[in-house]
Amino acid sequence: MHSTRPFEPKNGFVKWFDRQLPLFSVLHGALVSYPTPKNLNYWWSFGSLAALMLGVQIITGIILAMHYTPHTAMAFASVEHIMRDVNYGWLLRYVHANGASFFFIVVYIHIFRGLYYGSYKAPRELLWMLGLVIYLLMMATAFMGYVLPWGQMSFWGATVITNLFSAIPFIGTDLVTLLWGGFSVDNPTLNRFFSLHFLLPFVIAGVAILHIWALHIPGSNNPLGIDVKGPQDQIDFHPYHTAKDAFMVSLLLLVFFAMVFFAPNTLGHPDNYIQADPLVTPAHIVPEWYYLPFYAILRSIPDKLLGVVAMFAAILILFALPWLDRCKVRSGTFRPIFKQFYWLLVIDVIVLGVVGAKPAEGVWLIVGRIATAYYFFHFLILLPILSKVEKTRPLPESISQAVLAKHA
Amino acid sequence: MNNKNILAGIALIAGVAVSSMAFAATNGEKPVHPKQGWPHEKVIGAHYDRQAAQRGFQIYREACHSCHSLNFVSFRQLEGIGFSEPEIKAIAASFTVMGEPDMETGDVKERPGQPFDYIPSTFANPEAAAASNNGAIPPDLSLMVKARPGGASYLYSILTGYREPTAEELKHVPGGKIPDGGHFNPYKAGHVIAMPPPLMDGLITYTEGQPPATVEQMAYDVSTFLAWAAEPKLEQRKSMGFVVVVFLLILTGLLFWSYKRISKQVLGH
Ligand code: HEC
Ligand code: HEM
Repeated sequence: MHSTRPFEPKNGFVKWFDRQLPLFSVLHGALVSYPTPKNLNYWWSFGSLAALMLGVQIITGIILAMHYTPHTAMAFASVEHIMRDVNYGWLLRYVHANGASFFFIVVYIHIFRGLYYGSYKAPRELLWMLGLVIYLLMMATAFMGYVLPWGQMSFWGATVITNLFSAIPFIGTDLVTLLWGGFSVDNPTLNRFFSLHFLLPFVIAGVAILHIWALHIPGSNNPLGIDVKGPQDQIDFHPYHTAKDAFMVSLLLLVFFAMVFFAPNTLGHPDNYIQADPLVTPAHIVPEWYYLPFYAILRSIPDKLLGVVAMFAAILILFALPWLDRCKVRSGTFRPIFKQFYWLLVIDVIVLGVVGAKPAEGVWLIVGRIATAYYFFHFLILLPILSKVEKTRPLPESISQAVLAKHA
Repeated sequence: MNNKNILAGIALIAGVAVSSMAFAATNGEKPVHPKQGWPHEKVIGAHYDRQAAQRGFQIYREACHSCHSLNFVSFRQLEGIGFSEPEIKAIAASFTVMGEPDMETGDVKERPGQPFDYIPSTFANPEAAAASNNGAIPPDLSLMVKARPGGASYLYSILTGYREPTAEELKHVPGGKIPDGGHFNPYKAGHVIAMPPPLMDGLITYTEGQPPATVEQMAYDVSTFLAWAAEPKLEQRKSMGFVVVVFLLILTGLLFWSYKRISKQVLGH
């Protein structure tokens, strides 16, 4: 039942095409005969769901761009034009805006799945790092996308975040001028952000292809974190995973569309329905929810430059994770202590998210500092020590044995 | 990791994310709005109260338009709250708008409005608006309901919330007293608003058969109208959403069943 199923096209055109360019073979290898461990759970569907959301964002984004005007005097009105005059423009816009949030929800689950099951460990370090590159690109893309409607939060969020770069010694101020295309966030900024916001999703798509390519060399990890021993441990992608992923896609769309149709503005900020005004500063400038943990880390450090360094380090540290956690056992299921701290990390990141939405003062500042300290402690100190001292539980003989035992 | 744990974790993440955004939006202080539960806020059968919205348009026009623009609403769109074509033509014609340049001379003259025109603003520019309002600019009302936490309920509260402050409340006003040209309103952030109370009982004369024009009634009506102005596609959105969600519920059920069947066939469990 493993992928000894070779690609044997019957259609003459496909045969002719594939001889000269094995595109169909490659697709067949990825979507039909890709051999996967038998024991993947639902959390392994979130890679497919991420690909789906990327597709949704690209398609809705291209159509929105046909009606949008990247000019400070017209951007806000052009978005309202989409909402009011363009056929189903309201639907396109709400799908795109909420799509960004759902893309992040899906990718966060995807990342935390990897963190629990040790999917970042050898032989998948490069796969993990390509994922992180995608994540960084997503952050940049979403940030610039949020500027486009040119509401108050667009403008002030852009001002606050781009200003962070001024903390970089020597080149900071020049760098910010370069980002802005002038001396404040203005029309040139909006124009270049639009251009880059259009470009980056295609770069993401490119890196996602590398990501999946890098997945197919070692093959998927699995909830037991042990290597595949032979065909008896595996199952072809089709029809098992196509059916499973189709179900998960439908479930995701159900939640997604419930949000789009019934609560499309819940994740947005009301101030962004006020046109940008450089002379009026909003009472609280908050970034989109998916940045809040990092925003909390930034603000928990009293020095501006160190704050920026800590914020970027919080993400960059994940690139080193395969070498920080050297425990040979991949899956958290067999690491009793790691497992506890894993959930502590999840809670820690949620706490950071809550703190990021609060004004940086009083008790929130203290909570933010403790949570920031734990975040770095977890990766830099705890994991290296744990990988030395933790007594892991015995691993099962093989995947097929474990599956048999479970369903006996 | 066991699935229950994970689900609880996800629920927690989602819940916290949503609620922290809500917190961020209201920045901590949560005024309780006296008017809750609008027909357009329902999940199933959401609709704008047409009669109220039409009366609301009348109020906007007679009591708010002198200060506030409504830039994103054209006369043609008033069809959305049930005005007929002849009514819209008559409404448009009763406004004066800037016309197109004359083909011969290039002069621009004023002309009566047409359905395709947008509702003209009273002031030529924000400076003129500020000049006639003690330096405060009356904001455009097209998106007001979406631009404030609380939406229509917030508008209703602002419009009905004017009163004298108690001594205790006055202490919380910056500076300890209401500044010149300011008015106490507990619902406004900072509790002082530059807008004089725009509504009084009997300010508007409704047509025959309509409810009496009390402040509460008028606040309800104009808030309904402005809710529609901010989100004119809401009825279409929610009724379409119902169909989509029911469809996806059935589809998800079928796909789950087919996944389980395939799993039995190829995995044996
Ligand atoms: C005399 C001019 C004037 C009239 C008439 C007027 N307003 Fe205002 N309005 C203002 C000004 C000035 C502000 C700005 C207040 C501030 O920022 O403190 C304002 C602000 C508002 C706000 C925003 C409050 C906030 O949260 O910032 C709303 C909503 C509003 N008006 C609704 C109305 C409605 C509805 C009417 C008609 C029933 C109306 N206004 C009539 C001058 C006016
Ligand atoms: C555009 C965004 C992304 C897409 C389309 C995508 C797609 C996929 C797909 C289809 C898979 C195989 C199915 C699965 O195991 O879930 C996968 C696996 C994986 N992805 Fe991603 N991914 C994205 C982002 C990320 C990010 C941001 C990370 C981490 C930083 C990441 C880390 C991984 C890892 C480690 C695996 C292997 C998992 C395993 O076998 O255990 N991915 N990805």
